[in-house]
Amino acid sequence: MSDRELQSLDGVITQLRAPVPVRAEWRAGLLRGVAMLPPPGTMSTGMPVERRWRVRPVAAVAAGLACAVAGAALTALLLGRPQRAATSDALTSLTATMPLPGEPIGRSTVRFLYVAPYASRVALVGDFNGWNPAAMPMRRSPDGRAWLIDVPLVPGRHVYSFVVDGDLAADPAAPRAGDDDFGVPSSVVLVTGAKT
Amino acid sequence: MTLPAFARVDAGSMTDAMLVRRVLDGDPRAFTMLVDRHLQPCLRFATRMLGSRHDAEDVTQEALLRAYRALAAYDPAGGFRTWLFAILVNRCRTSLLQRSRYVRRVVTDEDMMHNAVSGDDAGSTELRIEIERAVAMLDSDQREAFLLKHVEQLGYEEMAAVTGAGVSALKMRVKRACERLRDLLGEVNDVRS
Repeated sequence: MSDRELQSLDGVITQLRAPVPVRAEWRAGLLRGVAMLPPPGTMSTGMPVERRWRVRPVAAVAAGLACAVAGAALTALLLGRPQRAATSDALTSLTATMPLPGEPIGRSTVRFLYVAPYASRVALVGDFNGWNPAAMPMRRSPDGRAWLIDVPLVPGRHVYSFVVDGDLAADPAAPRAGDDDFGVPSSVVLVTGAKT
Repeated sequence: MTLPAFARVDAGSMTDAMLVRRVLDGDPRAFTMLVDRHLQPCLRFATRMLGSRHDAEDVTQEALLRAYRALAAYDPAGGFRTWLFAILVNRCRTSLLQRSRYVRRVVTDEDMMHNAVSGDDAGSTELRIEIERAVAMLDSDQREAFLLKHVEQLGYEEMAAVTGAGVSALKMRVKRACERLRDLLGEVNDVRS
């Protein structure tokens, strides 16, 4: 490419070389993330590492297949059960109903929790807030590893998802919604009513 | 003891390789210096490559954390910037692939503002949006080569190490990217006049 041809793009290149501002909060989060990691090279001896299998590959594949079969059997068992058994308490380990003192009758508070230590923003969207990503921003847990929010919900079935730095993500700890619309990864929480 | 010595040395005069050695010797402040030295070009490349400030922050963060974890594997014979950009370019490629798999993506107003405003006056903002739109319309391999060559100012050998592509292929990508950009921005100017 000749210099003259390149000159016609000089203005474009100058614009693209303009510095992108670095957000101080994001930089601090990045350095926090680095501080949480073990020091690099602590496992390094400076010599090429000999590969040693802790588990023989064949055994690992066999174990994987066995887990898949067991998982399929468990799924079939759960799907065969009456719907009533599939409450959020029974099926999720993180997102769970959480009765609060003085809670209005007919509503239960559900604590939604998403583990994402390196995310800078996480929000909850669902049919209860019109899938509006600005409606329910989640707060970071004190240890900085998870994001959470408590939401009072009426009893029934609610479909929801997390917005992690702009991308939708289903709750890995909750059942997936079978009726995902537009292929959006969604999860289900079943609220059985306030406990007394 | 190496740590007290670090305090006496003018860290700004230390090369990247020396700072990497400091980190591996157990001085985490040296990595903060490496981050500050390379954060701006990394974030700029990712922003221009992905067209989204939030995605750019994510992949830059991911690349730097990966670099930290893999620091012992860094070979000082090669440039640290080249090594870091190789990681970053891979993360950008992965991000672009993942993005194409999403059927629906939530884009907030804040996203738009991040991309539209970067501290300059409103007059040049319109031009920059047109430039960013034209850059976004390039094929991703052409965009990658163009940005590495003309924005980050890497040499072709360095680009080959970063991208894994051959020098002649990279030259062709850059040439085609320039031609396409000229066409796209020429069309905009024609419409304006």
